[in-house]
Amino acid sequence: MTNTRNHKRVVAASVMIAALAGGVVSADAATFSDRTATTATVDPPMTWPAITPTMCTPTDNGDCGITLFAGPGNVIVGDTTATAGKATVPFLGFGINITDPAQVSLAGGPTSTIKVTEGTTLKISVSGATGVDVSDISFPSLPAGSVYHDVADPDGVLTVVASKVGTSVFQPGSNPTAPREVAMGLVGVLVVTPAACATPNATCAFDGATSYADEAIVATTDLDYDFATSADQAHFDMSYFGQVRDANDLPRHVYHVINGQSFPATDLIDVRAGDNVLLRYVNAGVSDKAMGMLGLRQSLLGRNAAPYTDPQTLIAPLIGPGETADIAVTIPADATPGPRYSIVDQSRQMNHGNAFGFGGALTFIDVWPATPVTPDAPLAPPPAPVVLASPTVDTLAYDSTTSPGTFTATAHVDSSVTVAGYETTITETATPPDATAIWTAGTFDPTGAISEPLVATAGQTIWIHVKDSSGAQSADVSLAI
Amino acid sequence: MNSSRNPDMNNEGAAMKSNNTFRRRTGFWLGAAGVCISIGAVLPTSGVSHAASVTATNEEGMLCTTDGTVDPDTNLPTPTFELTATDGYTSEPDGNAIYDWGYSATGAFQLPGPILCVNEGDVVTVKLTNNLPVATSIQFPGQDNVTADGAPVGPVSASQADPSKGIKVGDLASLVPEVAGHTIPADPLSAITYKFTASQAGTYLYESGSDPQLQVQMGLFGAIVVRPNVTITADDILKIPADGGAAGVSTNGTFKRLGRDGTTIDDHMTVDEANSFKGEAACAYAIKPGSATCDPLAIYDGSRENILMLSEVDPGLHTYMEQNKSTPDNLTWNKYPGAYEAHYFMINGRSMPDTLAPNKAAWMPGQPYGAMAHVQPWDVHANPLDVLLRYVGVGVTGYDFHPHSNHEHVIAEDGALMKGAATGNDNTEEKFNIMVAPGSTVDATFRWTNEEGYSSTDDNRLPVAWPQGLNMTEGDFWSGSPYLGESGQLNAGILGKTQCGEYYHVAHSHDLTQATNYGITFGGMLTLIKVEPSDQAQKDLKLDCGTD
Repeated sequence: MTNTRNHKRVVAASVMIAALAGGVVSADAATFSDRTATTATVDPPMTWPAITPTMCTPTDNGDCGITLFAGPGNVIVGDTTATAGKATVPFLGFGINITDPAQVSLAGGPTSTIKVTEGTTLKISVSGATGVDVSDISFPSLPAGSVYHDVADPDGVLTVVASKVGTSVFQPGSNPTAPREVAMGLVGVLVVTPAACATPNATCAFDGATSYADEAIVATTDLDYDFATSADQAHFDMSYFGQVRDANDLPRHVYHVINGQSFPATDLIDVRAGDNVLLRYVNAGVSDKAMGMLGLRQSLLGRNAAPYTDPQTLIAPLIGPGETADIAVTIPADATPGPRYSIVDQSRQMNHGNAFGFGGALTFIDVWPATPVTPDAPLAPPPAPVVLASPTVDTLAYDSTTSPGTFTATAHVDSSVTVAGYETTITETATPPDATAIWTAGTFDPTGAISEPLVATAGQTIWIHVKDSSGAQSADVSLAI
Repeated sequence: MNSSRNPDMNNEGAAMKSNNTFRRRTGFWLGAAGVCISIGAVLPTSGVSHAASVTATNEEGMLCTTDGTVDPDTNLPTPTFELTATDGYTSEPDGNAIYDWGYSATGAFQLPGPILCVNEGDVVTVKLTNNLPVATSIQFPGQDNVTADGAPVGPVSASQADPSKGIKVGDLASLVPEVAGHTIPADPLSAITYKFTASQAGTYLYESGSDPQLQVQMGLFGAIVVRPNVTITADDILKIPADGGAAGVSTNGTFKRLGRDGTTIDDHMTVDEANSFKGEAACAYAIKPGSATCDPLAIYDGSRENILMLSEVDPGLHTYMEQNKSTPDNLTWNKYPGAYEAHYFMINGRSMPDTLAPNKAAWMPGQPYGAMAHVQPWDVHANPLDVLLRYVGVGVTGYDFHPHSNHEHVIAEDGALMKGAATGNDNTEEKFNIMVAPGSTVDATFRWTNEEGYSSTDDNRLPVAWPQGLNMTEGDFWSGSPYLGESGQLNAGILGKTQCGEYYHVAHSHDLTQATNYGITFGGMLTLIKVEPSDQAQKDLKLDCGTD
């Protein structure tokens, strides 16, 4: 048995997107006990750092360039009241730096978090699927002047200065359809870590001197099935949104998810006994959430991206809609391995659960022994917030002895990014390629060579460049035949 | 200083004190404070004080269930409670009878479960016997080292598949180990034994960890009060804060208050006075967990300790469970075909006006806890100790509880005093609307100050002419006089409910849809605060307010 599914050293917030298979996340997971530390035979893969810093494509002046896409997805939730025991709920989600539109996710999901260091200037190229209005993206926690469209940029790139440390959200802003887009789940999470954070992986909350062994986003969203599946959302009676009964007092289907998934498909939060853990609560829904943790006291470090002078110890901190709260918990050094500590909305909105009544916004902190069952794979040195160099074409050669001739090129990119394709052009003169370039999409081993037949004659010039999966493009490299 | 590991001091039977005057007039019993039901052995007297140490009766105030079991090997207290999950009925003010589930310490159904009062550091044992047809359990949020039958608690997964119910092996079945349901009458009842360490003083919730969306709604909840092991000194009492804000500050018993003319006046509590109040004083929190020093912010009058467990009921859900008692497979949240909609909103399992009735009112045998706080005018010399209110959020939504009259002073949330652990900052706050979130607790102190001191017997009469009776609409809780401690002629047809010229202030959920009984105002999550004349005034005027 493997335990790689539904286990995250952190609740998924990474923008490492290559492993995603599509836009549907499923509640059809292994049973609860299959996924816990007590039944697993090996430790879970330890991804590191906890919430991956967002990878930037540096702009000309060194700012952090990213792409932000908004589009539709589907989530499958358990529903014992539905005929099939499950329901597929459409949603709108964000995708940071994604290449496949199906990779969007709900708040706290794999692709909807931006994590940067305090002071970072983000240059965000925003786009949306057909019908999704992304003309205005709001960052409510940031002060005036920190979010603006760059008038010097005709493409309308959004500039966001991460000027306030903490956890907050971003969402459609002043556009007329914004409320319904948010109701469809279109909320992302902004994590800004203090510049003074001592560790390069930046697992700090407000205090740059205190880092955490584990860090996780716990973002709740309320999904209203009738609204989500309505053919005419513009005229949907929003007074019933999120309500559990309709005008005729009949039950309505409202689902509650953590990081885009409902229990039992929610990610467990893997920790080791003795760890100090930072949880970043986000309420992206419409109802209050009292996030009770059974077995541990939670130390509330701050709310709404603002630190408290004195952390308050709570059992079930109340998180209002649109609100965030950063809390710390310490796992006892003698904690028994297993999914020891439940995290659940104390409003007990679990009404799409299993036969025992457990579902919805519920997950567990899963304790692993302080000493690994099997040694962890050596952790790669925690990367600094990644700033990628553009990919590079290293060699270009042409063999005219074959028919047709074969050109061969080698390229390299940052090891964490695949080459997404290459582009070749043949010109008669030594001038740069034009719009007639031949784009060959697809991934290949960046350490290998590109080898393709190509008809060329003496006097012509072959041009080539490559692009990586984040869209960065290499310089053109030419070879005269 | 008083001593108080002495649970025999407030014996339930010995403490009953009727109030004939009020009963005659209203049919209610409103009486003196009550505190503890002891169900175990008596501990030797020790040198620390706890809130429940003050002699009181049990008609008003928080009614504790305590136990004095001592570990024979360690000689340390190990309070032990035997609870039974069982079913029964509660009554609503509109005449409805609601089928409920509840925890009981006597075997007879009650709602909510017993208020378990223990001391900080106690290793507490709770044996749960299940007389319900469904499996059930208890979770103890905020308690440490919780075990079930000797093993650390954790979620429980299904060990057997049951395709007919959609159950797979490994499905999460309960948040904590549970005890099987009792479905065959001839079979003995099953039981499970939980233990935990009450590590930190405070107010806590206990509730079912099995199908909690259903079982907590059905009534399987109660409260745990953990008292600090502290000694209250005269110096602590001298440091009780005065009213905040413009009224000024206190330093070692010097209280600055606003005089009638708006000027600031100083008043002083003497050391002798402080010493005289030690016997009445109780402490909710030490300056930090485990400390033997009481935080002055958390000192209160031990005879005026109250609890308000806030909950709600969807009667349709309860009726469905009643109708399916003989088919346990249907006794799950997911089988309820209706849409959840609460119609009753409760304090301590009762809705207004039942909230005003005394503890253990005979006509509500399944709802033993009243919810009306009694207070006398605060006075630095005569009555410097505050009332304590312990709020517990048991519902599916937050309740904005709103006491009229003076603000309350929130001192703790979720069993944690609101002071900076590192900085010592006082983060307590005055509030006139207290949000009690689901699964959370809030502790607040309350004092009623007779700022103007209006009196008919001196030159401080009301500055307005009082209207003739026929020009007023009088309510049942009006004494006929605006002056505290005086009563007057009521208009014909008014059934006065006052006893001694006392005032009543409303305290309720400010979501007024929750201050209803099946939609009818005023009811539901609503109670009154009874403001009585001072003890001295009662003595001087020969009043009987039903309290000591």
